[in-house]
Amino acid sequence: MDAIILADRKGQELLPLTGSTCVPLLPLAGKSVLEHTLEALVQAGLRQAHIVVSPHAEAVKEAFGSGERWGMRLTYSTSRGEESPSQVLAGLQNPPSVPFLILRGDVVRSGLINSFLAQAETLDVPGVQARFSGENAFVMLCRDLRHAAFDNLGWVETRQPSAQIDLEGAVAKLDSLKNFHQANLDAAAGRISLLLPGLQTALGMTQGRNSEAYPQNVKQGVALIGAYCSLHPSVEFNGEVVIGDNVIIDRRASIENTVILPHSYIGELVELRNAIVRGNELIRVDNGAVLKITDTFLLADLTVSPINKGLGEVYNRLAGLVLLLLSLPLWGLAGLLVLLQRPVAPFSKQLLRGNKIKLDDFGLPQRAEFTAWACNVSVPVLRYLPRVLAVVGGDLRLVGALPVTVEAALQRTEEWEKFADQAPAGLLGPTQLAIPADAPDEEKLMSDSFYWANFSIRHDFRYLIQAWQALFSRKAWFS
Amino acid sequence: MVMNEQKHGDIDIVALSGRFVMADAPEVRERLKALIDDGQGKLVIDMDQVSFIDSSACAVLISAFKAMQLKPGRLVLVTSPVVQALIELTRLHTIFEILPARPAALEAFGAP
Repeated sequence: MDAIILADRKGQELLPLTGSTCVPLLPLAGKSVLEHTLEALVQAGLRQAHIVVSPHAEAVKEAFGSGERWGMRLTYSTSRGEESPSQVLAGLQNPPSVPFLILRGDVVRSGLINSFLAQAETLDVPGVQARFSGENAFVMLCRDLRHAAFDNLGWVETRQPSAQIDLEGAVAKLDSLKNFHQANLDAAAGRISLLLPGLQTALGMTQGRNSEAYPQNVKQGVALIGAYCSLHPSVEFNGEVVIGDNVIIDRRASIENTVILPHSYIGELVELRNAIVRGNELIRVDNGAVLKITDTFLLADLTVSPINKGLGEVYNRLAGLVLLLLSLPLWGLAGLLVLLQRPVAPFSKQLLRGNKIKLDDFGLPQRAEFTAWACNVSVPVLRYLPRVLAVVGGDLRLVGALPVTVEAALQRTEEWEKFADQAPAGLLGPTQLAIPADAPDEEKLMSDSFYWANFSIRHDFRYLIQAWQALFSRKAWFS
Repeated sequence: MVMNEQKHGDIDIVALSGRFVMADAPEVRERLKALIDDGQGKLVIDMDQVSFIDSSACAVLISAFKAMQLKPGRLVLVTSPVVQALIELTRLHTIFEILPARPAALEAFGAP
């Protein structure tokens, strides 16, 4: 039987957790949200599924691949996010053959899919919907593509009349940070019955492989500890605690009813209650406070290596220095032209967003502005010559996306617009070399998006060669 | 690149084929703008036979999308696998309504 998994929630209600990932990939009790659904399907004997994702589609495909790890055959398509299921089904290249199972993969549920299927198959109706303990389980068996009430499974729920079967089980919609937190605790405590990773090593303690934890860590309650964690013997857990993979908890930290997501460091003597921790972000689910902790002795994100500039920047600055030396004859020419053409106002300046990172007033890393100078001459190649200094200074790379003002960057709010923002700003690049200055903004933006989507060092070298050739073109000298 | 314009009831259909690149962008931009201005707010851009698109072509699609939002109307894309891959790579699938074939696109507008 075919299975269609809808996993295209945008996840606005789970910000900031979904700022850099999507709901299906959020870790919940040691596994990603979508993995719990795949395991439920495997348990029910289903071996192939089509997953509808958006955004972060590539990340989901990378995480689950062809599904071999679960003994499944997985295929993928993308939606615009939170589309109605009937729209999604209409857009599929290969529509499923009836009967098929359709369910959401961005919520979790603990009821048995095979019990539902066994009962649903006895009913002769276009679609049968599952309810677990009275709650919409976002699962439907469909026999008729045209008449089943699919939209009951939409993230933006609609209520259409449909045959239903109510079974024992639990559903967590994960529709708020509080609900996400509670679902983790419920899974650890067994109130939502899921296949949890790890072995029980002490009363109330389940731990993953290669983790260092001690029975005395659990003072009272239960703790679900992920893989590759390191806990000091003096750490104390109370209530229900869920710790993700690769977490380090330092001496005498006290943790109660808290979910700690992977790759987090909890510092010495830190007390956490009713919270979700992700890296250096602390989310209090009881009062809704979201704090970004900049003191790495308290909380830290273990995926970020502090102030690691890397060799790339050194090479770029050196290349900028070489370019500066090579361009010295042009500087003389630029000086002469400026004196002839604009002796009163020889230079102009503009604030642009560079590649250096600084922390803003809220402790969030932001790309810093730099002053981009230009010679007020009519020759294009000489006009932007002073930007070579920004490469030497580390504000621009030699090859990269077109640098923009902070105001222009702030107007990029859609995901596709922000994609180009991930590219470093450069002196040269496809946009600077090929797109006319008066082209529409979206053309420049798309050129930068393509540059970043197809980024490779080889392409960068190609742009350098193109820039060298352009230096001898008419376009470079006559505007 | 070859561009064909057709009508199906009140739905405008623009069928593109071949390579849709920077050199074609101004002409397609103008034609789409005219169709959106004069049409009924229902436009299908069928790129099933397009073998490649570049960033300028994507920019044209975005211009059409924005113009259709202002009208207001609805724009549906029909894509070939190559075009679909490039659209997904640049996250444009988050704004465009994309359907796999022209009949599905016409059906989305309620056409018989």
